[in-house]
Amino acid sequence: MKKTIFPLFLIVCLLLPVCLAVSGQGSTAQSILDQVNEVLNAPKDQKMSIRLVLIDKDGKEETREFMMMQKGKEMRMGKFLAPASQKGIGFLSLPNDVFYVYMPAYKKTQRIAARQKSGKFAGTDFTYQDLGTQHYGDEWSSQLLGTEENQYVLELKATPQNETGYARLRMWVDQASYYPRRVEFYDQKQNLAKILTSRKIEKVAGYLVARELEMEDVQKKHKTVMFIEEVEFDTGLSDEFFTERYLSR
Amino acid sequence: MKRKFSRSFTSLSLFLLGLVLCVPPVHAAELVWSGSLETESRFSLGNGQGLTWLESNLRLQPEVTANDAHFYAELRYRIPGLDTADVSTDNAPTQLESTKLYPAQLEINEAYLDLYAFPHKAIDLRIGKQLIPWGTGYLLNPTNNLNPEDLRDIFNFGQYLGSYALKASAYLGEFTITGVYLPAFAPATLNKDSFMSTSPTFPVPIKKYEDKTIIPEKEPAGWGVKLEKSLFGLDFSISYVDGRSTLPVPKYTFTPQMGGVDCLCEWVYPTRRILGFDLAGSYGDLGFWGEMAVFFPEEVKATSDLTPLIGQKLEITTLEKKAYQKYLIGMDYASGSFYANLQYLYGFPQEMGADNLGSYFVSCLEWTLADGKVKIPFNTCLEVRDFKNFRDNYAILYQPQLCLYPEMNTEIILGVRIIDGQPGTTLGSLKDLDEICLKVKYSF
Repeated sequence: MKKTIFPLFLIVCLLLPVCLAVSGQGSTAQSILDQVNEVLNAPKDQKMSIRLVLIDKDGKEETREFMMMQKGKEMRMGKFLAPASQKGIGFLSLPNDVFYVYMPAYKKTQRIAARQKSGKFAGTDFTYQDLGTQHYGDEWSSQLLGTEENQYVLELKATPQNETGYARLRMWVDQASYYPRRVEFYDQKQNLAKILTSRKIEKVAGYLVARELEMEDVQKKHKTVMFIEEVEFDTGLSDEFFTERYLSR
Repeated sequence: MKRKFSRSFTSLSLFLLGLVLCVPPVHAAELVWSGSLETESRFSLGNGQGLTWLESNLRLQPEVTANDAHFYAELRYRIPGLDTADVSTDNAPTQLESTKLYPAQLEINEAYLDLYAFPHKAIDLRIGKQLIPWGTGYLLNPTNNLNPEDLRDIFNFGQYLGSYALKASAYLGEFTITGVYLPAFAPATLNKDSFMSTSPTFPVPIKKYEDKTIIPEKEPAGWGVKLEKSLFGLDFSISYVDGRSTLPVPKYTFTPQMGGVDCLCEWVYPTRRILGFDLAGSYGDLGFWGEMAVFFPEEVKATSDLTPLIGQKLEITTLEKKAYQKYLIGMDYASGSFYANLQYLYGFPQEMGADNLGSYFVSCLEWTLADGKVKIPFNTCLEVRDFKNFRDNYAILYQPQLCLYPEMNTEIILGVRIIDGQPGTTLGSLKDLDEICLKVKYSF
């Protein structure tokens, strides 16, 4: 009996520090991700004027302009200001996967399937989901891979409830500010699909914001640069702004 | 009295427009112009007609936006090509009028003023000529019966003309109530090849045939009310519309003559009441919607005394006073660069009467390629008038297209439309109009 217990005890003793180290690393990764979420989602609401520059593989550029409002994690409303062919088209994203598009030519608001949220936003490399502030919640399990040039390197693996279409993300987080500077998106075949790079990170009204975000579709060799021209935080946006009434205005 | 009201309504709209443009916040707001220039050519396939459609449209859209008010208009300068030129060959070339040689029309499709949170913070008003959205369907809306159809181009169904109206929407918590009042009747515009073409069948020879359109002018076009609410994750609405059909119905009267009859066809716009219901929602990756409209029409019938000819009076009913339903169910799916849309429609917009409704399966499959610079939609519409005798009662329309976006704001569409089917069907009656289409649009 004693002969059986002793080896088991030994194994437990040997494995315990390893388990603690792994769980410690896991909680470190999670705490970093929690900090990232806190930084990204610190404002209660925000209102932005955005210019998008689409650059194709030949270097040809196209520009889109739109305004967007966001409140909390799940209420988002945007409207195109340019180009002329898309002017007035609006979208409204609400909790529980409720999604509307406003078509000015028909003066009509159409409810569309939530799936289209993960589709391309107006021909850009961003999806509707990418547009607002990001929250990396239960749909990702995180792991700290190490540090590089004062940045944490995290690996985020998709959990079963993940609906983003990506298998995993690799994220470089600034150690001082906890702002993610670079995110790599890997598809279900584990191939690198897109790279999001945040530049010109500055404080506006006490909140960190990247004035320039570049999303590169590595496979299609196409990229979109999002310039945050104007931004206002915590202006007390009412829930009324996130309704069909305001979408159709 | 009612005409006076209509005039007063227009004057009130203009007064409000002037008022809003004069008050400081709007006056300070900038007038922004946008618009588009588009041209479309169609070439017949097979019957040797060559060019069958040529039309250019310049659309200008002035807009002023202020905090609590908004003015918008769409001016359309329509330059039709072949089908409306009215040139008499009896005249010498020097006597031909340029307006007939080069006809063009300036139309105001929309011109309205929005007053937000007026007269109460929960109410938005829209006054003026406007498109009134009604229903949840994709281009096809059985419950949308307030605006007149623009059927000058019969293959461009789903296009409507603006109507003079006062629309008020009240946002009361989870409910939205919309009320619309149309002070003046406006009929649909039709094409010579439109579905309205008809000829009466009569056992006695018709000596003389005369058409006459009776447009009701001295009464309001109608009103409508709609109640909307979200429930169980779905958007529902129930509506009621009281007005006139914007499409005419023939009313035949016959006068006995020597060896036959004279026929007078009066095109009338019967009144109707419509109870509507619609819903929209999504389940997983699928979006879905449905609409149902129950029509309670006015009877259209005429009695002719043909005793001298056939020994009795003749009563012809072209629209029965019998309720009928039109409905639509549809769903769509999108994944990556692929989009699919499928709808089943019972009762096309121009169809009236319980016994005249057909079944239509309308689909659109669309692929987007080359970073959105190329789209390939494939539209089909299968019409079935009688499922028990499908072979003799079907028609199908195919419309593959190639849409190119070579530069920003530029759209080029090259498409083919082919119709096959039985002549007794709505689409089958147009089977000789197979065409290749080229459309170019530039927005500014």
